[in-house]
Amino acid sequence: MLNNYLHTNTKAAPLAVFRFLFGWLMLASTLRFWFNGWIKSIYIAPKWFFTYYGFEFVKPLGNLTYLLFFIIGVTSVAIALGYYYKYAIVIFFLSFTYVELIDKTTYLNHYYFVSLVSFVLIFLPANVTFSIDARKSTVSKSEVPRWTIDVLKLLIAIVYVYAGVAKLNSDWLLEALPLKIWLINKTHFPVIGTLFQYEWSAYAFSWLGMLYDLTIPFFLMYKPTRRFAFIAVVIFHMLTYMLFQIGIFPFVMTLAVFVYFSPAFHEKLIHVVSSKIKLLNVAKSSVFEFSAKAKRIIYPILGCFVIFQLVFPWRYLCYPGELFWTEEGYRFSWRVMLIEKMGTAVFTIKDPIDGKSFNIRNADFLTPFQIKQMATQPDFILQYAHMLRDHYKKEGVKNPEVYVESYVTLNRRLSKQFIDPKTNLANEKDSFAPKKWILPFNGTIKGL
Amino acid sequence: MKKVFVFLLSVSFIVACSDSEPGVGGSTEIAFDRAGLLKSLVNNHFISDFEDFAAETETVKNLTNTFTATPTQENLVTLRAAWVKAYKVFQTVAPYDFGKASDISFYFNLNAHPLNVDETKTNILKPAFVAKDLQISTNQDAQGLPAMDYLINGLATSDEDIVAFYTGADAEDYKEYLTAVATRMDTLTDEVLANFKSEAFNSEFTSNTSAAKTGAVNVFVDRFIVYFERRLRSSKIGIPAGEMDRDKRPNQIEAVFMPEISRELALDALENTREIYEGVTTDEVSLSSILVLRGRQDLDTRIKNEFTASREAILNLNENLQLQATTDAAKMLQVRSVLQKLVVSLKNDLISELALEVITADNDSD
Repeated sequence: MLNNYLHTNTKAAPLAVFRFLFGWLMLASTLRFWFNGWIKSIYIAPKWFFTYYGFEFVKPLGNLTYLLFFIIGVTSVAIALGYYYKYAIVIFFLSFTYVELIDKTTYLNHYYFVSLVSFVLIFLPANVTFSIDARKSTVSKSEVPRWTIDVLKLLIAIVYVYAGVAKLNSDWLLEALPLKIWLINKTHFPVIGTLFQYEWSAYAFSWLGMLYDLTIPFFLMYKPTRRFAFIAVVIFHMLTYMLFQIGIFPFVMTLAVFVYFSPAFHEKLIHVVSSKIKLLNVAKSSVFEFSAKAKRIIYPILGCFVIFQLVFPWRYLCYPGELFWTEEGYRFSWRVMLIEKMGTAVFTIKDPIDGKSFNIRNADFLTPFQIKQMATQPDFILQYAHMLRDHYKKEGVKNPEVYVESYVTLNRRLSKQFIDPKTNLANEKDSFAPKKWILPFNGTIKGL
Repeated sequence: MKKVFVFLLSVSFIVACSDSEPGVGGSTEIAFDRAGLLKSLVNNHFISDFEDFAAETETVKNLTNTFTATPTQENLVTLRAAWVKAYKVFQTVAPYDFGKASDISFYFNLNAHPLNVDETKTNILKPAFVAKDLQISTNQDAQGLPAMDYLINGLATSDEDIVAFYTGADAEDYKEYLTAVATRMDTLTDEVLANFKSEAFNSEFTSNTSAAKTGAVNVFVDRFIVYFERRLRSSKIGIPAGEMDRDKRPNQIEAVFMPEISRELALDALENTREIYEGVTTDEVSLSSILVLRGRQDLDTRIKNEFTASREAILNLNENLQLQATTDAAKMLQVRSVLQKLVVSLKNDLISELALEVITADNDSD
């Protein structure tokens, strides 16, 4: 059965349109970063960066970051046009992912999604039609294996369904948190703003959001409901775009779901666009086929990739304690807008030789954005403690001990102490093992 | 499946299109009265506090003139009493760091401590010194209440010897500097008061009910918390006790040349922040009343208890904080920890409950 499936072909148009939209959107995102001055403020200005565990070799690039963004911009255009696509997508994936790995302070689910999509696109024949590459007759193909489009649909479905599953918890459904405290600041919002002063509107949005996430991929897959589903996608994402500061995410998802539309729809789209942009060649016939060698490489890679995507978000089950509190296993799991968390962390450096100690000013080392992220996430706190340890070692303190007095509030619960203030963080090692120095969460959040 | 979907869609449309009047829905209100809070702040705090302080700086200025015209011990004592009063009342205006106050660095021009004594001495004896020089930013820590502290308390140990500076060989230099410092304090205060009383500030501030970082409530709460954390917790208590250094820094207290009033100044500052939080009249829209309306009695009670605990903790210290830091800095650091609890409640819980965007980087979130 699997073999049959892998040999089924379909029109290449949806894949090509996906590539086309993805490229332009990435260009827009790059320009947005550039013109907002974020390249400097996020990747150049900070003194210290929070690397991901296992990716410590990723170093900030200083002013070369601009070059990297330039490369991302150029390859985005090349991807959109399908011009030297194979090279463009590889370079894009590496450059984009490198940027993301520089500092986890800026971690956002949709950037992770972009990295994943661009990784998968490396293996897909997205340039066989509606591209400059397709002007070569050897490249030009009108059909591709069906799985090359289905894998993208699956990826999008995972994002939605997992985001929906993550909402199946008592804070979101029974307390309407954190939407309850976010929406009240939006009472000036046109037309519906006035509703936000009532508690029930937060419940309505929480439940609708949960149902939307859990079901939308299926309504998109099913032809009779597809058109309505798409309208819902547009309304949902435009609302979130206008209500919350979530950047390009709404556009990423809105454009991504085009891939669920029928080949006929995409062919019409291609027809309209390619009649305007003559550069892009539309393949008339012939079927793309992976070589036997390519299959031997691609099938296992993408197979493992899909399994990884399905399993990895559940890793939090391996940790004791409340996920929203410890955040062990929180990232890379499509948990979006689930928690309103605020923390303060005051670090003390103690010199064991004379027993003297002093507090440090976080602003001396971190940006306000880094401080905010650091204060609520234990892995940041540990990393920062290590950076401080190393810094004061250089300053001449022999074996500096690092302690933190930190408090966190989570979804309207009174702040409570977050990290064991008696633990010398200088001696704690980072790892995937549960962090024993995170103090327990006193509340209960039921659900998945 | 389709039916479910159509249902969901129509619910979204109903949600999207209804435009009911407030109150009609009959459910709990969770918004908060930004405009009301801003009006209370302006009417019950900014203007009245600044009017009180302007009266004190005026008195200080006049008594300075009296003293420089007739430098007697008696006039010095009268001036000193006025200065103490002014320093106490200054605590009530210190947190208002926005509008004109922020533009002209009001706080730092009036209360940068520790005083740069060397710079102050140099200025005094510099032949070319003119009052306008105090406007230079490097002179920020050579003026204001701390400079007056030096000029009327710190020149010598006895009043007789202090007065001698104003009658001796360099008397004109000392008089000139004291007058310049007192006059500038009064001028700056009047400038801020005029701004806070102006129609322009009033309407702009109280109508700026935006929830953005630039919204007046956001700016106010941000400044208020920064004041509490840096000026009250650290500058007055923590830093002299050695919070930020390997060693204690007793000379960094406020009013270092008259250290017996330093604890009182800290208490006045704390009392003022409590008044801002709770409000001074029963019908005032305050941060406290907002929390209660939103069903956060738990947080409101906690904050009120922490204010009480902070006051008791400070009262437990020696009234001379310099002496306290010198003899038992650890006790002072414990007080700092009590104040830190309040910082946490304000910075974490209050900001989180009101979903206030403050001092955070301009970026996306998810």
